[in-house]
Amino acid sequence: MSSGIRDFVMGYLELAGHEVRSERDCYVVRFQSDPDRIHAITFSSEVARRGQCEFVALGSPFFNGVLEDTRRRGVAAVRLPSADPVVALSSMTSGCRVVLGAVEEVPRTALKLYYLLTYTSHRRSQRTVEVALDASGQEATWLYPVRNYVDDERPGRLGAKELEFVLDRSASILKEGVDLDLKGLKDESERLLASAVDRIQGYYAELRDEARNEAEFARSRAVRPTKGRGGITAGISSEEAEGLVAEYDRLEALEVGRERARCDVRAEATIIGMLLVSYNVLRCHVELHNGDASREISVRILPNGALDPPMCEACNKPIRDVRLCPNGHVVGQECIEITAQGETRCAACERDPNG
Amino acid sequence: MSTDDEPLQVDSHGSAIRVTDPYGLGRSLLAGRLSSLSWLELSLRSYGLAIQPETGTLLSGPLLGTRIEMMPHQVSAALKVRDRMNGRALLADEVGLGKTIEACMIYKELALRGLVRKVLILTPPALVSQWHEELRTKFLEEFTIASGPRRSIDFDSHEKLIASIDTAKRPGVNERLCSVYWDLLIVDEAHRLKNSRTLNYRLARDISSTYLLMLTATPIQNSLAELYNLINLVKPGLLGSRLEFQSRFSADSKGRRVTNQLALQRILSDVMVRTRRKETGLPFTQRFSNTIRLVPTEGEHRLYNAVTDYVRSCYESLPESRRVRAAPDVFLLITLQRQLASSTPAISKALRRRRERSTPEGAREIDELLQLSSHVREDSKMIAMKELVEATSGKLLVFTTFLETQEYIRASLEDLGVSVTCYSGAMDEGERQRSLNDFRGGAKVLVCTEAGSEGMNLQFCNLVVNYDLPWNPLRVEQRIGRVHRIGQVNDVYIFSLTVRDTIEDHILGLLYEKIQLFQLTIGDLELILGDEVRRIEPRIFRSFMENDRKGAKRAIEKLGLDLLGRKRRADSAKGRNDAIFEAVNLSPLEGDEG
Repeated sequence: MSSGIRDFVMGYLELAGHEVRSERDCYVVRFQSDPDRIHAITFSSEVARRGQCEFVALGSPFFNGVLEDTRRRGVAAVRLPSADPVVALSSMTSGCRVVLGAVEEVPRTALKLYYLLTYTSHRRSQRTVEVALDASGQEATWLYPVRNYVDDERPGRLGAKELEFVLDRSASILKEGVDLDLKGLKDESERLLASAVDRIQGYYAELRDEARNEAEFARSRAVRPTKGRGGITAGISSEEAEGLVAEYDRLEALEVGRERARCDVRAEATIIGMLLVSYNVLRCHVELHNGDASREISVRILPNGALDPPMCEACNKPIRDVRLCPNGHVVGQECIEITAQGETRCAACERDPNG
Repeated sequence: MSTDDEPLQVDSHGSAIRVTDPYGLGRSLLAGRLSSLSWLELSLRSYGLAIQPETGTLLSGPLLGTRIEMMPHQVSAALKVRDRMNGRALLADEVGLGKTIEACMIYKELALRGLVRKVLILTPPALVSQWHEELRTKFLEEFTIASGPRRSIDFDSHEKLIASIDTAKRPGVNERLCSVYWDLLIVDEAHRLKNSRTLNYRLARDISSTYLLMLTATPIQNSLAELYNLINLVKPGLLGSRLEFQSRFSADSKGRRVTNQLALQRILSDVMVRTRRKETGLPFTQRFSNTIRLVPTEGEHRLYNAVTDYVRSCYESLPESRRVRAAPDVFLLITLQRQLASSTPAISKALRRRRERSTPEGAREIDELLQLSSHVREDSKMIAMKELVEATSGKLLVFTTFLETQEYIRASLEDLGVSVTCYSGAMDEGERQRSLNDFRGGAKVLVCTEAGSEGMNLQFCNLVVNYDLPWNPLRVEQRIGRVHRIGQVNDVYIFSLTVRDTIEDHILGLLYEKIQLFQLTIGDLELILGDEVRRIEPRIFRSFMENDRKGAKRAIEKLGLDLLGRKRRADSAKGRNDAIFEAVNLSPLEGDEG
């Protein structure tokens, strides 16, 4: 018995609100929408062999029905709670005092897509992948590890055009991974194909030679062409030999074409789930203080607490460890230096004629 | 938008990726038909259940394990074909080891892994319904039987088709089958493709499929060249050219003995599986046939003669054009004759039905026959049946072709205080299951109509009674095959009841006993009879209708000799295969290490 199958089916029955009661060795299921419909099922092959109830396993009709019903329901909407800005900001800086000012909530929508990737060549492999994008089609990598969703009763909407755009973008993102996966498969498949094509071409080349040799033999010995049993000709005319050669050409092309089809590597992505995610981006106004110097900056905070970091005013790169120089420049750790005499040197000040 | 089955094309650098949304999730999202997060999570889990690596087990194992007795050699063969032969193989187990089941297991496995959707099964005509039934009852797979006029077969809408080779060869059908790319092609009794110049062979060669399973117990009927032809369908060119193959592996000019066995074994092990009985370690029990030949009572004798004369006069009144094999009139007359041999209630009911549609003159004639039937108090066969039930301690599986006879047996045995249960095509699935459970439980006798001869495994019983006898030898074997199959641990005893000097009596004595029918498996019969199986029933009937009694006996005897000749040829072909494959070992049970 597979406990994975049992847990899955029992989970389904509970979610669907069907009545389940245990009776002797079986589970008796009464369907919510149709109370007259009753099924006695079991996950034990031993019980099933006694013929008392329907065995549920991969490929069984009951299981297939459960799968079908479940998979149609693979669309959900969730809301992500906003991050705590104080906690988020505490990770932002050291060396200057941070004062949180006004916080503005900006509503956003993202779509998390779940795919089943299937690679088929002479054999088959499958894996599931996730792609998360915001409504503008940007990959929202921060969404991958997020799990603290709350079911959303009033989700944001995506229009048909937006959805198509997002799906197209997600397929492009998928393709990059797929290309890597396919490379290994293709190499193996091409090796197999080359060996099969060699085999087939060698075989038909021999058959063509045999047919021509037969004709040559018959011509040189003036043997009257006769057809032997079992498809082998005992002596054939040149015309018949050429007819055979043409037939071998046709069959060779057919067989090689089939081998190509068998070794053709295909990738298919099946959409197996969609999660519409509503969330707020916090736009926080933050005052930075360092001695007499102070600056006000704006920081975006995502629901997972990630900051949209400010840019260094010296090197123009995003900065995690924000510093404020005495002259009020917002710079990163690498662009600020404290000398042995305790003086602060800021790369931005050196460039700033007023610094 | 491309959210249904329309692919999203993102093939910018030569790697096409097709994106599908088979459950319409995109549409649901747009329509606001949203489920809870728990449903989404459950749905995602469901995909994980079906993604399984090839780990030396069958994904289909748990399900099939409850429906069929999977033998180790079958599981090994299925794994070998799946993992090491890329789904293209010649399955050549000895007769009686379950090649059909093996092929269905491979199919189910490939289907569960999503590798196979479009399947075509080609079988001899006589085995079409058996395949259909086995797939339905044991593998839960509904196949469509391709039959009827070619325009009525819709190849596009059916992904799972069974066709007889004869149907598939027909002009119009042939081209349609060859124009489709099948995921899997299964050819049963593939020795029918042994000759590369036949239509059968060309048909199999021209049908394109990713996976191919060819089934035969005797890949070599006469010479090694036939094995060469079959392998060339599975893996073209594997054995080189015909001349090269013959010079390398044939020890004599007729290709009946093999040389370079190890080299041949090495090559064939890539494409062929052959398990021999002795390798399975399974018990193969014997069959013992007992004919209970009864002397008819005066009443039975008169009834039999009168109805036979009536059937003959009906036959003679038919114009020549309506005496052909499949003509409905002939079929009805054959059935009437068989009902006569089955039981008095069966023939009485049939006559009464016929009377309703008759002219006043015809009705008077039938009234006379009904009058005669009313004088038969109890059939001799029923008296013998009761004695048999009393004399045996085990469970009895009783076969009859007709529902009236089934009811007659049930009622008569219950009067005797015997616990009886019935199984017929008229019952629904639940009733049938209950009936089988009763038989497994307390019931001593199970009375089955022909519907009971397919799809049931009753190995716990080893006594079979043919209350009446099918004229088609395959039907006889299908009956016995319910109990005498893999898993039966006792010898099987078959009792056939016949009344002396009837058609059945001659069929039994001059035909079935001559070829020792009761000892033959279905595979044996296929090898012996081939397409002849469809002609036997009308041949028997015509022998009786177109001759006097002595002439009829002679005609049946001639048919018997004909079948005997076929049996001898089949036996020698089996002998040739045994000799060759004794030296070339292709058992999946050995060599799993590779």
